[in-house]
Amino acid sequence: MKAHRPHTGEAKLAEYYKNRGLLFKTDVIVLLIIIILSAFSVAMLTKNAAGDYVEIYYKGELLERRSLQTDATIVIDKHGHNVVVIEDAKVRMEQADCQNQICVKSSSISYDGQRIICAPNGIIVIIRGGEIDAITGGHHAV
Amino acid sequence: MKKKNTLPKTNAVFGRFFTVIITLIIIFSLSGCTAESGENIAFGTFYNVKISGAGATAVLKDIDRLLQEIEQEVSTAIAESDISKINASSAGQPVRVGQHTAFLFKKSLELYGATDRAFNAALFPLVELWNFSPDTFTGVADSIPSDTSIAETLEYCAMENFSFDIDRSEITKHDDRAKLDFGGIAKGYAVDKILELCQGKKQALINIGGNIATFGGDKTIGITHPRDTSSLFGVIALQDAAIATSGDYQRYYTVGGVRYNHIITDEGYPTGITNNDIISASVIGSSAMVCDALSTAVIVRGAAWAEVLPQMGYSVIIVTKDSYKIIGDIDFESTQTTHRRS
Repeated sequence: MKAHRPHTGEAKLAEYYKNRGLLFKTDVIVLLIIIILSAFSVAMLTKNAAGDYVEIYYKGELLERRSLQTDATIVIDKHGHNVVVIEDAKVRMEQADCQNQICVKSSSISYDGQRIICAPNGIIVIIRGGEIDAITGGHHAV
Repeated sequence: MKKKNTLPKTNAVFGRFFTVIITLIIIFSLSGCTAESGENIAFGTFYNVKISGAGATAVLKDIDRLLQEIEQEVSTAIAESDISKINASSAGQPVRVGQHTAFLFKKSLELYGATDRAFNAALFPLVELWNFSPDTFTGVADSIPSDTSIAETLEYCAMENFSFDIDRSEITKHDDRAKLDFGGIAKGYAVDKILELCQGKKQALINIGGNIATFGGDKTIGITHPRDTSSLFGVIALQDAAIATSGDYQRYYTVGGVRYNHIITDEGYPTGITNNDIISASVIGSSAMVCDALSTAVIVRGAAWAEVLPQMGYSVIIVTKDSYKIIGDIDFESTQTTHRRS
């Protein structure tokens, strides 16, 4: 009975895997790249849980991201003039040149998902970081 | 001499190509399928949408177009909107309207009946009389309207002063002074329409001015404390549902030590003056638009009327000055000590 002989290419491949060892140097490099990129992607997705911070947006564009733990005065000159103050881990709109001044009269914010909105100037200030996904109620912007 | 261990050339090329493809798949599966709108302005308030699933980024562009389309039709602040044209029209003069205005008019009529006129999109003349129009509101007032002017204005604040020709898609007023405003359901309607755009995706969280809807996983939603808006009243777990809150703290001014808020009853006065002591109502159910309208209706009609909500498929958290009440099936956790559960 004629014995089965592997195809020449298959034989070479089998010999290669038999001799090469568990990992090739390039395989290690590729694996490291995958692990680093994966860790970076996961970090990007879960960064909101890292800690409390405030973000300031102008018409969807992120202008500033600051820690709530560091007091600061942030001046925004975009469509109009706004001054945002971070003090004692709370954020308030100190000044705005909008007509209705609703944002200036709004309470200070400190909880994840809370916002101060200056609709006439297109500015939104929001607290991020924490367990809350969204907040219902709050001041209506006008 | 030891033979060099080499991979056949074609297999080597295939191996590297395969590795690159796998790497890209891993990266995209982790980060490429989640998209967030960022913080944007629409309807005079904020909107934020987070979507997970293939094609999420493309949906965000559709959402932006949709919101602009709705706002262009129904905003009282845009002179060329359908609503502005209707409000400026004379009695008997038909105004042709777009699909969003037509739908919202029909729904407003339904909700007007379902809430025993507590949700009334024709109350806009009274809202203007009390200086609560979003276009002119400043949060400051020296006086309130007279009882006579309130009674006179109330006479033409009824949905019966409008008719809708479905075939022509035209709305006609029957009183020159009558005006419409869909501010009480437009944001909820927009949330529902965005949900439709998100169908087929893994997860979505939509928030337009506190009108929220979600699907594809549990979300933790905070409810603003009505007397300390810098803190939370409590949190609820929301899954495949919508929530909307109305409160007397959202747009108000104080005259002579009395708080006057933007929710007007069918007697022509802000809630809390003549009707009941509800200061916040959060309604949970399938449609954000209906939640939006019912949250207003509960504050106007009171807790006894709200007992009907579970029969409609909706639940509510009612907050008064010193207590709160849950009607329906809600996973709510209070985070405050100022109010007892009744």
